[in-house]
Amino acid sequence: MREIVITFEEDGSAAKIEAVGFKGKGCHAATKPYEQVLLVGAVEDVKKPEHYQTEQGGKLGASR
Amino acid sequence: MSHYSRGALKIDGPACLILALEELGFKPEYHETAQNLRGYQGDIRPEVANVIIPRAQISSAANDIGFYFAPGGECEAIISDFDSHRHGAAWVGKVKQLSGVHSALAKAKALGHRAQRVAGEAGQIFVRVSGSL
Repeated sequence: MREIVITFEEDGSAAKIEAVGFKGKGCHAATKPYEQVLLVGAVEDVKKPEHYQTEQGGKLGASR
Repeated sequence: MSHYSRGALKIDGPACLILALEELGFKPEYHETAQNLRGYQGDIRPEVANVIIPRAQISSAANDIGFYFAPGGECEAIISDFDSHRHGAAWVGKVKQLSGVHSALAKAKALGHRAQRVAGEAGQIFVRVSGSL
């Protein structure tokens, strides 16, 4: 199941937008509208290790 | 597969800010053209804001609290030194957090997604978005 999980820190300083269960670049398209309304300035963009595995045709590991 | 992005949170316009302040128990005023804030004696202050919490909603000795939206969209909280003891950085952080939550819920609704708000144990708030992603 594809899902976006947005975490808002208690102190209001930052938010994390995580795409789970996506294939290829679909995750960027899904999270971008939320990044645009929530985040300002430099945005740290992190692919988890299994992301690389799948893009190279490897076996998909645990999603988180 | 998963991917995440992380960055500083912003207040995305007056509508979600007002919802956040209402959640904290206030009934803020909105002015498309920024208005002067008033001091605790009713005196007009030089600072202007688009979203104003009138001092009567804060305490008898309080000044207005305001949020000014610059032409570029950046939001600045305007809080006097006196009021910052009770409504300081931690309070502004809570306002930003709640404003962000309402922005995410509004965006999900606009995109036809389902969204669920969940309270975290450490004070965080999670918004889980699903549907036609």
